[in-house]
Amino acid sequence: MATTAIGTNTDMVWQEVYQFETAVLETIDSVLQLINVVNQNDVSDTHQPNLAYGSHRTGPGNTFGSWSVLTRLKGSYFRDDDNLDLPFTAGFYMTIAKELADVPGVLNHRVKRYILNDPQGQTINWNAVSGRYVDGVNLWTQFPYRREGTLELNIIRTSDMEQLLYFPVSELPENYALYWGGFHGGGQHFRVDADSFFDYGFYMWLDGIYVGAGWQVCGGGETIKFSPTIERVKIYYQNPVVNSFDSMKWSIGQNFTMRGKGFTIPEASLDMYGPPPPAWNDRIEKVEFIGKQNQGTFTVTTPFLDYDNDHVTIAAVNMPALPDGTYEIYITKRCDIWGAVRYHCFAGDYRCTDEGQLLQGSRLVLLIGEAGDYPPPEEPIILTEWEITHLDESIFRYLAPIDVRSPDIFYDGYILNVSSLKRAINDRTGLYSVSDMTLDLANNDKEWSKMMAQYIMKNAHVSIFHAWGTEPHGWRTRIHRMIVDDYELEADKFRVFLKDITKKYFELKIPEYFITSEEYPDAHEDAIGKGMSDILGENSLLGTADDPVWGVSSPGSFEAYCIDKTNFYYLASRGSLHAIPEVYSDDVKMATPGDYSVNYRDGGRTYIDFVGDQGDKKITFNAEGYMFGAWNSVNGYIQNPARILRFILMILLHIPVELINMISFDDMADYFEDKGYETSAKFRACEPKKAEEKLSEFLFTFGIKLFPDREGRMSIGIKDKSNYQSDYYIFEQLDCIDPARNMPQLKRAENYVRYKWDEHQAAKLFLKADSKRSELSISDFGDSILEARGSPWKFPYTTNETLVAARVNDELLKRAYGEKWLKIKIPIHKIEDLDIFDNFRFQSLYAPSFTGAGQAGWYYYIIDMEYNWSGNSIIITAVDLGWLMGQCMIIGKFSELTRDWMDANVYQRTFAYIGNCATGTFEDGIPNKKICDCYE
Amino acid sequence: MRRLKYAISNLVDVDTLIDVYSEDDVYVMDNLYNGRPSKPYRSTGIGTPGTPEWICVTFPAPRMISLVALFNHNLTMLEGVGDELRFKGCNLGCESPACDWDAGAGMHEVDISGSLIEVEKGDRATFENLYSRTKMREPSYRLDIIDQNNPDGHIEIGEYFLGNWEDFSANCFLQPGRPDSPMYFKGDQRTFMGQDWISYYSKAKEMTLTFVNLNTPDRVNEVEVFLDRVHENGGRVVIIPDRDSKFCFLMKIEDTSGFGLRTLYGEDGEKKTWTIPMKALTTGVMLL
Repeated sequence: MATTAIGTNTDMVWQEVYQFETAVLETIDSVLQLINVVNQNDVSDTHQPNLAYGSHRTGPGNTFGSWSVLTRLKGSYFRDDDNLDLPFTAGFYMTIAKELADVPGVLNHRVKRYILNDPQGQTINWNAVSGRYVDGVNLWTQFPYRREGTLELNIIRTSDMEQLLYFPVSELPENYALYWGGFHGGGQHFRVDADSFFDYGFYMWLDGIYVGAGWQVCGGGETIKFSPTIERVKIYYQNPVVNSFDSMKWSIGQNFTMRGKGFTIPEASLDMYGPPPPAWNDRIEKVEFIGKQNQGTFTVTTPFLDYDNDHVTIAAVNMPALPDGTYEIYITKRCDIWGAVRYHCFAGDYRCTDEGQLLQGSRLVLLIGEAGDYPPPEEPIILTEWEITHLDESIFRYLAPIDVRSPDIFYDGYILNVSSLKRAINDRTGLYSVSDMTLDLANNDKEWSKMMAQYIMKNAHVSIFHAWGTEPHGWRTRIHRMIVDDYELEADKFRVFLKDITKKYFELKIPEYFITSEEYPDAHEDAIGKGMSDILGENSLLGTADDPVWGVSSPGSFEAYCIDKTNFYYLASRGSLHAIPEVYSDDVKMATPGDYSVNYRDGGRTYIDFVGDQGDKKITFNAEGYMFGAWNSVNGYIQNPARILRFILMILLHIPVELINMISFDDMADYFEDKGYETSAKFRACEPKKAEEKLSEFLFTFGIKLFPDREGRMSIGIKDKSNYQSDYYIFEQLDCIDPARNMPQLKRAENYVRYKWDEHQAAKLFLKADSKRSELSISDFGDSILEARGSPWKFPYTTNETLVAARVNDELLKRAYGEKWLKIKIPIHKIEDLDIFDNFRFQSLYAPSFTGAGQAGWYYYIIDMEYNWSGNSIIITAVDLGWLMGQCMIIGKFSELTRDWMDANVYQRTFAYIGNCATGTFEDGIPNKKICDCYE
Repeated sequence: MRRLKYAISNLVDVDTLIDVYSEDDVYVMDNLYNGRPSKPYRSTGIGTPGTPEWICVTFPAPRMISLVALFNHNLTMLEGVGDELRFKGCNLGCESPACDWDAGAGMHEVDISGSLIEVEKGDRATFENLYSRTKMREPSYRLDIIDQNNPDGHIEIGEYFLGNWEDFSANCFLQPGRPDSPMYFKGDQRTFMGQDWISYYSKAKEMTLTFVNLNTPDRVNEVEVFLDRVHENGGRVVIIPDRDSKFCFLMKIEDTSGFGLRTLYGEDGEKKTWTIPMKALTTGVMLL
């Protein structure tokens, strides 16, 4: 079953939003909670600390108080009238926890929600709506919103993708998705009204509770209240997206093909919970070539277009006669089901993955003829784009070392000097680093004196691009995104110091929140100032009675802190934990029900509420960590290393989604699942520590490398036997400005390691430890070299012994003979071909080889790239991948190899072709490969 | 001797009323007089017969114009039927209905399309600068352009110069014998094995202005006044190598450090040649 609204459809493009503006609306003395009948006198100005919905009745009669949720997407990334103007469905993913259910025997509850629309002439100051407080009386003098007349009963329980009409109270906390739009059983269909949805958001309120004899409302004196944590919104669009052209240049006689998604969305993929209605007929109407040099607009319409959902081809005979120049391409499609509604996109403004996830792109341009002089001179140009924010407005500046004219942007030639820029991965910790960068700008015309007086440029975004004078502006390559850290003015020179855009996030200490006496006035004095723990994955430290082998005398992975001495409430976690399997009081296991209960309050925080006073006893507990909808493991909470890492970056460190390469995280999640490690990870932030230290520990545990891609987005990856190959060659004689430096890094060698894993916070211990030796290395060196850092390798965030053993094996293979670095300096001309974490093959006449013939194409991967625009070069540091290849007998895939070695290309010749055993050669006399001595 | 000509002050400046037939959003008409040929004005069209692209300026009072020059333009050789490049003067103002720019009422005009220089370089057949000597005294001037074969789809002018040419009483000439020489900015690399990696950045013209026989204080003083005026003009000067040359350049003087010595010793008997290096202002880089 295709499930368009809830997240598995891959025929349409979609994106996820993780930032919201939210508020709680409290009504008093209201007969109904319907938003369009609430009036000013019904709205409370009571402080509401957390998102909540529910109702209460202070006495008999039909008067209620209620809490309802208002949410709107934040930012504008999801909305673009030229590209993303028609959402098809929108799903809100949230964790719902029970806050208070003072209704005897309540089993289920159900909500209604509406997309809001025109505020009837009133406006709301969303900047004043923080999600924790809303002054309903003063801000909303007349209730501003009306509701859209759309269906409101579509709920998915994401753990089993079951469609529900209500939420069972006993399941909570649980992940659910509420959605709008699409098709439904019975032939109903509607689309999300984009203006209402994006401008005004949605409204969610409690519609009723089920006690056992039908749906009802609260009785007199009863209260029921739930706290939703909205995690993300997934929006599907009917707009098409163009990822690429088969050729960026077109000449007469050639077909022209664009590839992407959503050109004609198949009806079958829309079948969610009922048959799709007839006459969907989603189709391309026309393709327009818009000349950037006033060549005019040339249109190709339907009869001359050949297309399916992922490509559009215009046959050569149907291509218009395009004059020389560059062209943007604008696509229009329509779908009959909504009437004469058109959908548009500019090719390249957005790109999408195979799964349909949207990525921000840059507009593609098609080149006809030549872009510059012919024959073309190699003309490298650095281009920079500056976005300075002032009073919610963005001011742009475009700078280069020389005046550069492009069709839509003029780059002022202010740049006098550019320092080098280094992007690197620490191969040991997995963390990345980006060097600071300095730009000197001419201030002869006092442009920057004026800028300094007008704007605070601190944290302004600066994108660095590389372009060639022989190529259209639209073909430029982004190198990195940075922010302004500081600047100084020296008469006619303005010096700007840039730093990596993500650096500020890693300097944050986590956990971010603390127990305060203001928030918890009755807290135990020992609890004040303690961090509110964030917990992920399975964390279990059992007592000896429960686990005779691994049980410990001080069980419980975490410590809970008393925040209410009168009622014996203990805070376990700032978020909603999936479960707390065990609780210990001074190492004595407690029972539930009886000794304690686990409850969720104050916006989903997890509390352990004891029945009796625990005095000064130390309360510890084991935990199953946070949930996050589609990221959960089969156990219902997040356990996959890649998912936990994404949670840390996005939720704990607040890194915006546009700075995360989500695809790489999804790929790595699949990787860990394939390896059988999908439930292997855990994480905790209990005592304040710099995020980069915690991240470094986590990355090392799993061998993950975290690095910025060219778009400045954080990506992750792993080097293993499936990821060392490359078809890209660097030839020392041709490409290296200086001779290559082979650096074994023997002083960094380690051939005997102790290691430990499975760390627990409360007892401050690693539960397990072991050691491993590289006997060959010890024999060669004549000595054992203990781990260089003088302490055992630590894998704190996993309990998986198999994973740890594999990690130790990999690291030891890599380090037992040093780390084998290669350092080369190559011309800037290679700038678009190579990036950090890329593999390449290196040919060197002087590289180590038995015969002295050098190496024809040894494998390396890049951990460090230093761009030197002044020197016109790139310095690359790469790591020898021999430690991976040494684990492989590379036979090759028979179907991909030529039968005769003589016909094999250089790539194929790295595989194990077997020659003549008697002569030890191939037919042409070249020595063949041997597996071992041959038998005649 | 066919004397070198020069012009210093561009009468088109921030105080001039200026209007254009069409204007690109990014490359606005103020760029016509910003002193940066690399930051140009662009029209949105290329003109059609009867509907030219035009640039019209109005001065507060009639101004003598003896030199019209366009720097870093993108004009072709104007070989289309109906193509034109005309400089017109009118005494009634750009907006005056009595000044019929098309029919010619109340105005003078000169066809300056003959100033385009055909060269064989790159993908364009014209040299990027042109000038024309004229003799008009009007408050308003309009430049009409129709260039129907222009492959860029717009008219681009880096600097629009309206001024008055002058020459020196002293003997002076440009070196080398050919009046300009190319100056290439590049960042070549070579591998240790000899492989060349060539990076072309941009190019400009460089030349030296050479004075000889500065053997009287008056002549030295004339050069000093010239240098002072150029300095006050941001170091920029329009140079026409000689009266018959079709080439012109918008130059900046690179070095005047030797001038003090010449002033001191500019007495009888001082006959050594004296050179002033100059560089043409960059034309920048254009990306499609």
